[in-house]
Amino acid sequence: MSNLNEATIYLNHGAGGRDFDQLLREIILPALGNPILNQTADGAILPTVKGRLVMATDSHVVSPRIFPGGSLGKLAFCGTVNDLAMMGAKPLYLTLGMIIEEGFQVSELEFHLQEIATLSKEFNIPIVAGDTKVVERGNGDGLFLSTTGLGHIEKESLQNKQEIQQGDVIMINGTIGDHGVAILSARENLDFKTTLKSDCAALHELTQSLWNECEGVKVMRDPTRGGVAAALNELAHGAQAVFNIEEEKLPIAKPVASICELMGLDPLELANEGKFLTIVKEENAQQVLKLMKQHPLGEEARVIGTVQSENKTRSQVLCETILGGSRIISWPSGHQLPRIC
Amino acid sequence: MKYIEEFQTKEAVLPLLQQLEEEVNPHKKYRFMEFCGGHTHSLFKSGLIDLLPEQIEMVHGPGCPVCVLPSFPISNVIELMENDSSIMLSTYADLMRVPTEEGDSLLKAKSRGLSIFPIYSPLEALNVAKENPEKKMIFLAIGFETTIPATVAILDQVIKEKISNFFIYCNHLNTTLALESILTSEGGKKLDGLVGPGHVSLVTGSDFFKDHADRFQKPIVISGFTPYDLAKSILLLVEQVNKGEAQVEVEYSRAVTREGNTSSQKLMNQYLELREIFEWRGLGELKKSAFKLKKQYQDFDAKVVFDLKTMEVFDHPQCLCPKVLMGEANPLDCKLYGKACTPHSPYGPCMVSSEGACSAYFAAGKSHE
Repeated sequence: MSNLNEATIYLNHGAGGRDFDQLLREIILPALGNPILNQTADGAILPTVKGRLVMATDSHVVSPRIFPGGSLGKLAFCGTVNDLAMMGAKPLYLTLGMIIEEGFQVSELEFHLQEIATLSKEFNIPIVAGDTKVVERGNGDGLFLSTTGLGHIEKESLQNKQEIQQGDVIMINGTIGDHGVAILSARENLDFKTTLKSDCAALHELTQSLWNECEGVKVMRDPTRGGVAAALNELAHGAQAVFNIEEEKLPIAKPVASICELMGLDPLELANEGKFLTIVKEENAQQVLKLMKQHPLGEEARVIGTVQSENKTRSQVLCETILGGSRIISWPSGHQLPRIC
Repeated sequence: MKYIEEFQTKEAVLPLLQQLEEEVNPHKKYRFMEFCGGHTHSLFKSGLIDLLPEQIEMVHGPGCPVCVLPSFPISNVIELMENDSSIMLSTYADLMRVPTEEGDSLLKAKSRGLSIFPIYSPLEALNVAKENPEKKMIFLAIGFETTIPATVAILDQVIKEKISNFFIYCNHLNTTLALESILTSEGGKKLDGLVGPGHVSLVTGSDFFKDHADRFQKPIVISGFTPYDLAKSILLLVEQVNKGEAQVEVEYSRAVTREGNTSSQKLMNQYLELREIFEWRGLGELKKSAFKLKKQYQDFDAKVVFDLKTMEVFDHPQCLCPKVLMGEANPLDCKLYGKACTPHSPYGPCMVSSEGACSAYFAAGKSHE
């Protein structure tokens, strides 16, 4: 058999036969192996899980696949872990589906698997099942990864979440737009240099401490694609409420603000991969904020606004501008387009 | 210069608003037009529009190159590409969502597989052309004088490097004629002054506007784009109106000079000339209002090489964009605004472009209610 480490992926690697077996034993299992995955069965029989089960799934197609502060592999792990975290769940297991384009470098595949493996070991969230397909050259953008996660909620009170009410406080755990700008800076055709890195991170330890140790945490949402603007609008729409955000309080790193000025982009619409919004009962807000700030991923946590009314007939995200004027934060319709002039 | 802190904070801007309150004559109405779509966008995004004294009315001008461009250039290139797969198109991203008469758009055409590249700079387009020597790249060049330097610089490079698969579909517009058209209209005569376009002036120089200020006896203050710049410019306009002056003043002095970017102007004069006539959305047919490549460069002129025709301007019968662009109507006067016409499903160009007045109003949450 050929030496896989210097090779590229070809169609047979996705065909379930001997070549796939070589890929599994020489590349996949050395990175991700654990007692369940090592059985290489069709599925994973898991130990009994207490409490309420929670599942989430995410697919990742980011380009470029490696960028300052992160990678496709890291995103695939953190994305699904964070979705579970937002639901109040403790992530337990992940599955990994890979669609690889014929000709993809094995060394890069190893890189992404190693990124996943490192996080998997750090947080003890094993990859218990997976799938690999290979598509013909031209039919896939290098590598697509899809992860599904299983978690659980043990605390009874979290299973019936409280309704959002007037006076509730809206918070975020840190600066916005970092991931979006890091991706832009890694694209060859946009020539600017920045030391800014993606904020890609697994949030579950921080969120679990808030869900379990604090009262009054009503909902969490991670502002990924579409940014804080999309996440706030989704939350407002879901609750049929009107939010009021104070622009002055939005935490935006200087490089992000500068690049957005230059390119005519709105930091509110840029993706974040290590941030979450949370809506908290007013009387518990200070305690939640204090606890967030004690964690490395929440050091720059801030209150950014309040729930103005639970109108029940319309939803809107209002924004008090820095100058004291008023505008709305619209629900982004799609990709942000750099402005002409 | 701390661009953000010094120009966008309460500490920078509120004292100017205070001065403005003190300077306005409480018994007078001041009607100013901000010509440039970028200024409209900034007024609304910062909330400054709601903080101006009630005596001041801002009328939104046609300085949004995406808004005033008819949609037929887009229809032309889509049709061309559908019949010839060796053709690629690049253009500014703002143009991607503009709806054509047929309900199509460059974004939809891209999803059908046509080779369409939204770019930030024409250099990206040139790089794609070089990487695909067997294909032909058309650069759909739009914008007022602000973006003309980028077009002529790329043409200069294409000629020097003897690149044979790059063509320019020139739809650049002339600010002078647009301004002329506004100032001679009924609405224009009622204006007390203009907030002049900052980035056009960067290229043309502020002296470019002297003739308009003199002929129409209206003060023109060339403004930057931050809330500080706009508040300061409006203050300078009020001061001039109160003194009965009609000067061109440069508030945006950190970028704009009297003579402008002379090396760009040289290239512009070398490669471009004015078309006899061009039909604008909203402003109608204007003579010598749009640019084209000079005849000696016709080998690079997409209009000539691909025989691209000029067609009549299409506007939805209920779309009020033509009047909005002239400052004769407000987005809220339009029956379609906010109902059938939203940024998600735009009927007219003022809603598509982030510089358009309707888009700015919508983003600010202004509604009929």
